[in-house]
Amino acid sequence: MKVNVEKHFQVSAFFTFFLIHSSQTGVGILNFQNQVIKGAEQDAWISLIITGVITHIILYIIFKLLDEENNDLVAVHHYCFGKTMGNILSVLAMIYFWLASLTVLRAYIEVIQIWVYPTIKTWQLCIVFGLTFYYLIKSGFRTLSGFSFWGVVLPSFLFFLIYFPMKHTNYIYLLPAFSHSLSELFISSKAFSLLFLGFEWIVIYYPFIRRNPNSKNISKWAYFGNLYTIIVYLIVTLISFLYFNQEVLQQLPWATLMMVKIVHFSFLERFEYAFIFIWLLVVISPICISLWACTRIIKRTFSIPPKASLKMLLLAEMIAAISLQEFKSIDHLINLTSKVGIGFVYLYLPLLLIIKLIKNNFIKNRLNKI
Amino acid sequence: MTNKKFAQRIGCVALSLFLSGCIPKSIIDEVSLMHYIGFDREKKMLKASVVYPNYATEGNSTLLTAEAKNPSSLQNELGHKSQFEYEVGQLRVMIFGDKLSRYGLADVLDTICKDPKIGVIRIVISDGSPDLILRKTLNKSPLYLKNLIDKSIEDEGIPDINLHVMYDQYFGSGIDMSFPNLKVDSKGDIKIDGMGIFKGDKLKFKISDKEAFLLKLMMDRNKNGVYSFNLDKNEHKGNIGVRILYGKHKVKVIKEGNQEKAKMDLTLNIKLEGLPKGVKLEKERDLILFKKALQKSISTEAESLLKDFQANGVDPVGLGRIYKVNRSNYSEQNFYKMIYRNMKFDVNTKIIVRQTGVGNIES
Repeated sequence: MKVNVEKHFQVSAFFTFFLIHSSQTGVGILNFQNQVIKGAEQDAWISLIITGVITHIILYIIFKLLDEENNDLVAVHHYCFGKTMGNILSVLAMIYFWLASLTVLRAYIEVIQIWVYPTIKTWQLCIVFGLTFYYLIKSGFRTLSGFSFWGVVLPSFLFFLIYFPMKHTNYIYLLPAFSHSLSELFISSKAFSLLFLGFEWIVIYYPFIRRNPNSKNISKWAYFGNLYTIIVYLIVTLISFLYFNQEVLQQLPWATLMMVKIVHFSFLERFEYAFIFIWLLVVISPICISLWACTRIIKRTFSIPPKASLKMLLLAEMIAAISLQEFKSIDHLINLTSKVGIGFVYLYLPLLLIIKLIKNNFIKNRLNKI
Repeated sequence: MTNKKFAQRIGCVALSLFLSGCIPKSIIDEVSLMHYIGFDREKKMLKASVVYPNYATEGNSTLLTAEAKNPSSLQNELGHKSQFEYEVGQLRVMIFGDKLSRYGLADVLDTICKDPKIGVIRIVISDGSPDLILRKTLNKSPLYLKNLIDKSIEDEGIPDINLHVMYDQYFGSGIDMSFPNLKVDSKGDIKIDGMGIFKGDKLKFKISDKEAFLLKLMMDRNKNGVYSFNLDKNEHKGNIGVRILYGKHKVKVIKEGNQEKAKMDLTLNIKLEGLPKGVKLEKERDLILFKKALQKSISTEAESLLKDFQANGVDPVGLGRIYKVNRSNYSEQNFYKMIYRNMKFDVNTKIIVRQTGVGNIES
């Protein structure tokens, strides 16, 4: 069941770094603080490192899962469960990918509605964004990787902004350090894992990355991508913990944006508005890559051309986004996606590897017998 | 085929261009960009006074007032009186009147916390009604009041208070809010006059300019300001002002017997401008004498200020927060009921004379 992707559709291994990192960073980073402090409070940065390391292990599992013969999720499913069962599981994975895309889109629209235009309708933004996404995804995977490159490089100047909150930091907020039990740390770790979700789409676009015959290039760049994500999140977490005390973080849901409020230049009093729109560059990649992965799964399982399925998927996403009206339902959506995502990435993928190894063994034994 | 594709793409671009017209717009001449807002309590109602510059007519700024039962409908009430829509995005200073501060700010503060349009603004309180102050700003330049407060915080010994610090002190445990206090002096000028110290959301008492500066020395990183004191040692007498350039503060809460003791170390780098007659700093003896007198003056005044806070049951320095650092079983209530009341204070000041100006010191 090996997938062969023609060379001119492939991207070089170097892009794995940007693909992994950009599909992890979404809207979550704007408001994760009041979720992650629920368990470990000021020690939550330790939980971040725990989650980061676990994510690293999962990446390792993914690279074990994909090999020469079965180089994407659909192929692995077929290999382990046979055609029908494998297809059903692939469709379930596709639903999760679609859900992830919907979550980022709806959450970003919510940010715009809360912070910038309170009276704008969801459908207006949906049409504008939907057209952009359609155009991007239709152009294929190479365009998406190019976009994810710029989506990482261009917003990286935002890093210099940490200079402004730096002036108001107080180390006392991180004390007493290391005062939480392991179970409390794990509660925070679980909340952090939502931020790391997105890297798992590599199980679909893996065949699209060009491989040198002699190297472990792809996995190397993927690990770097994840490492970069950990560093970025660690900096944001530490700065926001040093800038706000824990009680404030509990009260203010949008801590990262609140932190950006302190940034002002003599020619620009309120930087957070610019920040929110620059963030569009960041959120486009996760939305588009996951949707692209959906169309890819459909193509691989039912041989429906991506052009047709993309329209359906986008339309469904827009309708779903518009039908979520209450602010509470967006919370529910995020909760649901994070639960499904954690289940898929941290439980299902390792399980799949075990099944695959058993199957490998089984086949080997049978071959030996013959 | 290619033509059709091209038309499709152009269509997409055109559609997104047209759709961006759906974005709600505000034309700068057609909104009232308020710069200052004052809140006070009048006849059990909340009263707001806003000042906004008239860019369209190039006239003076306008002051409008309105009353309502809650902060949200206040904006509506104000809207009824003005020809343009209000925008709070450019708000720079928020003033709370004396009556409202004593009644409690919770209603207003909770509303500002929820409004993403409000930036990092300065928050001050005023003696009497904020109207008096806002009326004085009308014929000044639009950002006059904001610059006045900024400059006082930068150079003149007022603690750095803005929306972020307010969040920190209002929500945070182990510290109480404090805001600079504005008043109109006898000549009719706006002036910063000390600070108001809060307990919870209610104004408890006010401190003078000098005490505000001592508070700044104990909590801010920026310690710029002038400290004046009476030198009265042996034959040297007179009142001197020393400018504190920069410095450090270090606060610790330690246990001494049954009592907790707050130990505060201040290291201050100063610049001397004028000296009373007879003090010659070239003389080692005079310098030491002068430094000792200054150190003692700052230490005792800071200690008595801390005792003042203690007697009133407020903690603007944040000793509770420092106490909390090493104790996992901290409870705010317990700390203020049992420990803070009996706390002892010990302030140690170390003075470093960095500069004495360029003139002839011998006089």
